[in-house]
Amino acid sequence: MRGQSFLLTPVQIASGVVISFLLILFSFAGTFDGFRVLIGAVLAGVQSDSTAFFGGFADELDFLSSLSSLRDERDQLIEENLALESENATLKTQLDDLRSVTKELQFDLPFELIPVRVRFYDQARMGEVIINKGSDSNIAVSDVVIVDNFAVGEVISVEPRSARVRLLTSPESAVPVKVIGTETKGLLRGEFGTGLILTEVLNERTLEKGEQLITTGINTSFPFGLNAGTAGDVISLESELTKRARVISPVEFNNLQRLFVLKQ
Amino acid sequence: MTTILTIILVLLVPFVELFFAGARIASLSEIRLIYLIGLMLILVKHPRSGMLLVIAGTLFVELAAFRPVAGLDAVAFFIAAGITAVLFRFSSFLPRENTYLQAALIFSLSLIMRHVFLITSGQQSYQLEPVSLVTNGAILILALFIHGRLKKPENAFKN
Repeated sequence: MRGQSFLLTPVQIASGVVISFLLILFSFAGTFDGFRVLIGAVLAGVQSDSTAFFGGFADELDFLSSLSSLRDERDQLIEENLALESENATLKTQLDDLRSVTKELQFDLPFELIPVRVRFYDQARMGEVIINKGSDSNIAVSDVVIVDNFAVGEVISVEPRSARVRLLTSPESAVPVKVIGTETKGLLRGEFGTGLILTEVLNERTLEKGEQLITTGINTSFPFGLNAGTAGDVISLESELTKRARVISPVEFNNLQRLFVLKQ
Repeated sequence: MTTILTIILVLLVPFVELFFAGARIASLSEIRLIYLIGLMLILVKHPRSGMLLVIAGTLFVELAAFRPVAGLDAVAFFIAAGITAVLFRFSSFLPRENTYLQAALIFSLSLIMRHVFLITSGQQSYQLEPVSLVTNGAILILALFIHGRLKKPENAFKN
């Protein structure tokens, strides 16, 4: 059989399975952490480049596939522009009110920002990315990651030269948020690794489409006042105690490149 | 020729895999088993070296791709190899000399086993998505073609 067939002998198969299971056990025990750091350090450049390359590649594909719909969008945008111009006049008068409201957005503690780059999107763990700095750069578990004052995610594990960040879009993410100017609170959860949804909002509380959400800073590592997006379509059933809403965020969670880690 | 191709496969394929692993196109990042099929070429002539390379190669890629659990790919491969060996040993209709069929079975079963392991361990798997299936099928055909080109012609007059 040897030399003529792909079939392995029972002894070879058994030893292969045993070795593989030992690898899994060692993996759980953290034996490979050193190798992981070493390989990660050597391949950091390749991974950053491939992430950047495919980011641009995906944009090109999106552009090509959307050519046919551009004309429809243009017509729609012209109509929306007219509506926005009239709305703009109204908004100017409300600007002073908004200035007082935006005081809520001020951080309650001084922060230091550490700039980082996304090195890798983990396809096996939906909504998680690897960044290019870790404990060597003073990054620790539970540090919050932002971009342009928008909450992006939270560091869930660190290695000397990399860290794993759970994005808000992760199905395992749940961040307490509130609506600016009201007492409406809820939990911001990830949906399928790409979208955001606001849940656990009491039915008696008001929640309108377009209202801005910020983090509450309570029972979470996210500080008070980080932008979390705006409420989209509200889904409310009378038979349920709570309602939920889609959340629209300007952050492109599937195309992150440069981020900042907040150090409190 | 075989040695050169083997060296290229052993050294190059993990880096190709790592490159695609950075893609946001999920199906492209699921081609790790290209490495296994490439190593099958070595298994035919040097089973022990081939086995070690399957273990080392998949482990390397798993560690570099930040997989939380390392070793799943190797387990998937060896279980698939075991099932295939049992099938060929106890069936009367599967031709033992058909290496193409053996490789295809090992490869397909490896994909399925890996998918099951990933899902069971709480990770995501895009292995059974149409694009992944087509990509992996194309890889299998290409690998078998290379294998066929490398295989020495048999002497029909040899007893």
